[in-house]
Amino acid sequence: MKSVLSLVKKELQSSFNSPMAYGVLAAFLVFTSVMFLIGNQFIASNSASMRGYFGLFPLVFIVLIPAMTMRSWAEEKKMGAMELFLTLPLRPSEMVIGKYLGTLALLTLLFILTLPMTFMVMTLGSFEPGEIIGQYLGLYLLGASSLALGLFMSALSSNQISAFLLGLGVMVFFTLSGTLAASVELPKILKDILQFLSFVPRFSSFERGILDTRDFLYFGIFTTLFLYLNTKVLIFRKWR
Amino acid sequence: MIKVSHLNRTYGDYLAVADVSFEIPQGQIVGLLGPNGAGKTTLMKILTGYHYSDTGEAWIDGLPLGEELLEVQKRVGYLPESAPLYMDLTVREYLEFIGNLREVQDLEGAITRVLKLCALEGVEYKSISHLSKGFRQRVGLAQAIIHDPKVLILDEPTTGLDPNQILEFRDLIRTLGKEKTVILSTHILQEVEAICERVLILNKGRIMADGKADEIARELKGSAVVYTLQVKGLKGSEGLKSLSTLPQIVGKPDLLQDGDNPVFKLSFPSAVEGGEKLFDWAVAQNVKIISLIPETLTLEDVFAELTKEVVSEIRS
Repeated sequence: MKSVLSLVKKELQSSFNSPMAYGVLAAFLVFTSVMFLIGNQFIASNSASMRGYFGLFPLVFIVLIPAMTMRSWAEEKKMGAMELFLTLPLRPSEMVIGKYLGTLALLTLLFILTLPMTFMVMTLGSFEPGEIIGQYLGLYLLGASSLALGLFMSALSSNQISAFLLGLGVMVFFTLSGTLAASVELPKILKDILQFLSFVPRFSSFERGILDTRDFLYFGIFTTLFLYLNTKVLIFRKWR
Repeated sequence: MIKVSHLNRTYGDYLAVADVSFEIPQGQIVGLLGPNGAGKTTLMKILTGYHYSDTGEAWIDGLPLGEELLEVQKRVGYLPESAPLYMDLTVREYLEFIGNLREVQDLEGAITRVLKLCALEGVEYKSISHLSKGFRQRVGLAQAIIHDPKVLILDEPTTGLDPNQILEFRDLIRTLGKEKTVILSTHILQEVEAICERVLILNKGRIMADGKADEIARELKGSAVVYTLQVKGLKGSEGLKSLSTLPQIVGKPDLLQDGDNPVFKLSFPSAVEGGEKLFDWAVAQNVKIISLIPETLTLEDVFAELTKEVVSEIRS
């Protein structure tokens, strides 16, 4: 447990000693705010709703999540640090969880930084707090699952760029497959599979304020699966 | 402290480590010597748990590498080739990170100790990305010893350092070797001669020789002493003829250089006999000795000899 915490600490130190974390946070906040307030014509529309704001997140995550995770394993490998890392007295699961919680901490910070915008909009109209909480919860689960996916992609890659592109590819798939299934003529079974795999329908139910156990299970299993696969990649490296 | 028994490791068709066995007692500094691709790094990676071996077993501090990997890893400090560091961290942050992962009890004390030992006190709060190669290597060593391991494994620790830094680094390793078991790999022969009590020569994954550097050399050339002899006053062919009739000469003399002052190469069972016989011979033939040099086999020669396949077959 202690080792997991020191991994988290190191991940955060690494992020905040370099421009990476600041860049990711600033780009995210500026982009979503501008898109929401101007692109979405929040002021002109004269209705105080957070839908337009939160609705942007899944799309932004397609780029943001790979940017957050691309460095993690790929950079270790490139620097040769993997060699030392794997010889430390740590279980592969501890390494993966440490890395994961490190990026999750960054994501948490990012969510905290969106609170001012939320509070600002909330003062402009009457809101169901439950709805807002549901939206945050859905987004957070979506982000947390995506991080596990992104980390796995980074573990498969040997450098940041390929980790980013690979992450981008799978994020596009998991984010848009549901939309694709709905708009293209496909066999029913394929449509169902795409719909089932996609993040967005899951998130939409949270957005409407519906907390469905199946959605929690989906995100839970998704995260666990990719973290588990990640540990397998680490162990597999020893046989290479 | 370290016991290795019939280790094998292949990468595809390539045999990286082939049936390697040895034992190293506590407090010995052992040099792994071999050309590039000899299997030194692979062997180290297996001992540190970075790679698995295909077959064979190894024990460190009595613990089997397979089942007790985590315990073994706690007892080993490892400096991989080209110290892998986190460029974004400062020296102190890095050492804290490694120290925490290694669950060092008095981390503050340990950091102070390694900073002093590795002469890193001035750069403690500097970002690693701003350090020179020599400093980075020292940070790498500092992380390897922060948990005061019993076994220290160093993969080409002096590569890329300048001559002064190399000397400092060797001193440091020698100091550490007083209480720790150290395995270091290198392809620099002087390094082995300078700091290692024992040398394992590897080639194509096999151990070609194991022992003290000078003992290996002696064993390899036998007890015979080889002389290079230059004389004045006779022709090369005449010289060869009369030299080959000398009593006690080993094998046939060689003519290395003909001319007015021919140079011969010849061997005798021992230095005393050789010197005597050659002086008597020179007097009898009425020639003058310009030079008489007994050859000593250096580690370089040993290395060259051992890493040639032919020699290995003759010896075995």
